[in-house]
Amino acid sequence: MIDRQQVNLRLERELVDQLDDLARTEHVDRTEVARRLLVSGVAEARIERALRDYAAGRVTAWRAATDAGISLYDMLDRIHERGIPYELDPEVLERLDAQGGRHASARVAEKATDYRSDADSGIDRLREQFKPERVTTLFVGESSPAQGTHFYRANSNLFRATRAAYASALGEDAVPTGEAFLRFFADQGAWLVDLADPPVNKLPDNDRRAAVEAGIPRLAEVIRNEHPGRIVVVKRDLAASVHRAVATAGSKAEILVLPFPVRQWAPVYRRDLAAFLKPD
Amino acid sequence: MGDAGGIGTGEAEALAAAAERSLPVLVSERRASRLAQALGIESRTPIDLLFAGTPQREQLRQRIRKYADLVQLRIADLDYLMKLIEARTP
Repeated sequence: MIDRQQVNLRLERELVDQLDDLARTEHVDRTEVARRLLVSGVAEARIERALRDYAAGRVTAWRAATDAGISLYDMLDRIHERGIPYELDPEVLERLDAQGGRHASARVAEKATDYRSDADSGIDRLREQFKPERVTTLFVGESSPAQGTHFYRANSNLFRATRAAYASALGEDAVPTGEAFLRFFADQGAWLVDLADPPVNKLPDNDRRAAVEAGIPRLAEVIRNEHPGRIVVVKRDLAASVHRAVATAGSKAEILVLPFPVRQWAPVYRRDLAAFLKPD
Repeated sequence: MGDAGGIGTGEAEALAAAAERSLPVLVSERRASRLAQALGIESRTPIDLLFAGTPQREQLRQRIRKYADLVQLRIADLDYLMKLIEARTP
């Protein structure tokens, strides 16, 4: 038995006349016509609301379909008819860009000297030199770059973007430039470590992922020892690995995930890191 | 389950299974991949799979164009993907 509730509505005389006209044509009473119109009107309104939510990025197509009470395929048709574009995640482009659009099995020829460990290249020593007495904000990167630049050599994209973010958050006059920024960075309690060692940025995808995975226990140990209150992930692809290290360490650190600051992602990195660093 | 972060039931189930088994998850939409990221789950999209699984440049172009038509990819995004294919190591 259908559960129906009585609802009283005050309608304009003209609208009631139109309902009666329809009722005569359909050979049903006024109430039945009103009920049918409400059913179809509410269904359409739910679809409209779901399409708006989907277009605004608030829900996925699947969820929109559920909210609208229609099938996923019907919702995809509606989205198509409405011409709502597919919102490609910038992270996908970033990831493909970082890979140089390579096929997964493609190999890139590199000189063996490009892959020296951080101990051999002197990065470990620099990292220790600029380690704060108490690490409050731990920056986690993927690896030292194979091309020889590095944050702790004050000559990399990451160095420039990070310095710019601090300047944006704390004021240009308060933040030194060049190598002095490295001491300032340490004084702020900030320290940068990498998941993988040696460099992986020119390795094929599978090797790169394996190197990052292998670094999770080491990162967990750093987190366990240093107890940072905040962790900044300096490349979105690393988020899952860092989360696992944080969970392994039993840390409750606040985590900020940023894109690596190259090309169009540099302003995003600067803006989001600056917002994170800004004093309350 | 229907109210989980703006995603559908199937997406929520896929994320739950991926988290339970420590596996990456394939999702097509930004909202779902961001939720995966927030949960510490590695996610991949159909575009990632097309790039990873299509060695021939011309074939990849065709597949990306078909996918772009299917999902109504923005022209700027399609252009960017085509540039990535162009720059790809043959």
